[in-house]
Amino acid sequence: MAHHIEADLPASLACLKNVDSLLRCPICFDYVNISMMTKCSHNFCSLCIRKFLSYKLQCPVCNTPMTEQDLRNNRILDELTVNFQVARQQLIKANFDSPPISPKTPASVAKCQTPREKGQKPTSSILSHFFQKKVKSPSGREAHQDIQSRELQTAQPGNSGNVQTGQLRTSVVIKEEPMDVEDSSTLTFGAVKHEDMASYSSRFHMTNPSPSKDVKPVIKVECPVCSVSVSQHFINKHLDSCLTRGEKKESLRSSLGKARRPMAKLVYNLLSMQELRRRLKECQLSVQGSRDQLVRRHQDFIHLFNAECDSLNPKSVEEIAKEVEANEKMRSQLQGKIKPVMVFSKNHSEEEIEAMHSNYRKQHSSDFSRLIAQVRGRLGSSRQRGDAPGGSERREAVQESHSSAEAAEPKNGVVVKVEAEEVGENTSAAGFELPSSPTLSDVSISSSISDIFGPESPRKFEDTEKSPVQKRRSSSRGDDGTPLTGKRRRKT
Amino acid sequence: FTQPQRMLPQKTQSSFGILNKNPVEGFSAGLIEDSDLYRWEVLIIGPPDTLYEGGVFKAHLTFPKDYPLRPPKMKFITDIWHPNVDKNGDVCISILHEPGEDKYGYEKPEERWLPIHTVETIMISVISMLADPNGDSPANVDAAKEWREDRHGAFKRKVARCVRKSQETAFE
Repeated sequence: MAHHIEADLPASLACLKNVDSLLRCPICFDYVNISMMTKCSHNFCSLCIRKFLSYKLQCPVCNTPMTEQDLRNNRILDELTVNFQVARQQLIKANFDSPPISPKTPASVAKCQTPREKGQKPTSSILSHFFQKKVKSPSGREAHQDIQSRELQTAQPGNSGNVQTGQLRTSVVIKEEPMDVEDSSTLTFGAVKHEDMASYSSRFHMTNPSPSKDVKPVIKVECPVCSVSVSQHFINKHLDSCLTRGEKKESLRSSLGKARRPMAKLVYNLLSMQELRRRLKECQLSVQGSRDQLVRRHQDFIHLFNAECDSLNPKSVEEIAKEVEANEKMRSQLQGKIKPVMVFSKNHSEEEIEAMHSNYRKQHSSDFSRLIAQVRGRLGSSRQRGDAPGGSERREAVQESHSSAEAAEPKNGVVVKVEAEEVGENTSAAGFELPSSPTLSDVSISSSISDIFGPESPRKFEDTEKSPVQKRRSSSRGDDGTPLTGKRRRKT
Repeated sequence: FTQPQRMLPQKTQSSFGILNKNPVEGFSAGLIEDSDLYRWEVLIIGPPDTLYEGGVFKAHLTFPKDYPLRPPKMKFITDIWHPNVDKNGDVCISILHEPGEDKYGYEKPEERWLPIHTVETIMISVISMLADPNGDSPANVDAAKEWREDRHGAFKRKVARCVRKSQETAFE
């Protein structure tokens, strides 16, 4: 799957934050890809956990001893992740763009307007944000439904509305897939793999299908050699090309069943160079480089291969080999880029070390002043709050606003402020007893302290008990609750 | 979108994101160059109610290529007198020790590096290290000896000196 850095969830979608983080692998912080569950019920990307287990045989989250054999697929999590990503993208899009009001769906337009008018009332704007989304997505679904029904040439093109969404969901999974004719002519082995995903996602993003494209329903069958689904018309052609590849024959021989069997790990110390090369060739990997490089390359291949074994549509050996080599190339490029920051040897004197440190501090003084400014910025914002009369009352109001929902943007700012304040209090508490210091900055730090420290201190402990993370959780839970009731209200 | 590239930015950036939204008390961190995700600079304010209170400590984090499977290295650029920071400034705490080997023999596995750690969790450990030095695995033997034998005398004086110096050099 192609991964790029996703935009943050907009503040009005903060209620999805928990779902979002639950669907991420705790190792790579990306959406979980081929999820595997441990005995202790923790989920990781297959590749991430397999790589980690080659370091240490324990669960990275709870330290329970485990081995690779204990890993089990968690397919429902995979599906949830894919579906959530699609939904997330749609929601974000719907959140930023003004909704494309199509003349085809007048009903949805009418629906759209009521909540937005409600949104003008300041107290219910979060609700209205949710409404907008709720309303837009059904209209979007109708559109997809249209596309879908046209594509599949099913008998019920006129049906629309929420009742149909269930059917839509299932239609996504079925193997009858629309395919462009040009596409299928270039149906090489590699293309097949991506086709599934590509058509899957493109269907979701498609807003207006070009009528000129010749779309036909295609019945897919599974290739007995590589277990990839291929359109019926091209299966013979595919089989021919599939069987001419040695690698495929091997896979036919080694795993007649559906699942590809994971490769065993090798004890590289016992392998001769010749044997090692032979193994690499078997995996279609390059045999260039030192022994260590070869070993590393083979290890990487095994990790990727075994991770792919957990997939429903595993990548071919050729693709995996390509990926391994691309990774290796990138690693070596990175290695060239990384310069050692400061190299010390044991015979450096303390003066020399100090000189080098001081040099570094001077070179990077602007970076550090930026960081200092960041910490002070938090102090500054808390000072402003301290000056205002009834600061603690305001904070309560602030916390209420999580649930009672102010407009999206102020809410975000508020979260930062509340947390920044804690930082401010602590650092300022630190500064309060500072030995007098000659620098200007310290003067301003301690002056800010006297402003805040007094009125805020009774509340300090109460607040620091809750970690910021917990606080975010509880607040987003509040968000979860309100829109739901709102939705019910709308229906009645 | 190959693995190492994807892993590092995703992880460091998301941990950085968390960091911006939920700042841990008393530190901030950022990239040295936007293009190089493997090198970070951090600023730690000495935690309250400790000897290091009010100190402005600068440090450097270097991530290995196979992060997050292996831990980053942390180095204080500001002089700091602490049993677990050696005289070069290298930080020696169990959370930054690699998961595979157990060369010191007495660390519990849960205290060692795990790929689920982030810049934020490392900073929490470092701040608690400042609050509560670990005398069992000294990186600075002299400091550890002073800490054990004369915590409120010589050790305290030396720490106070480095705290003051850190404030003087904060904006040099």
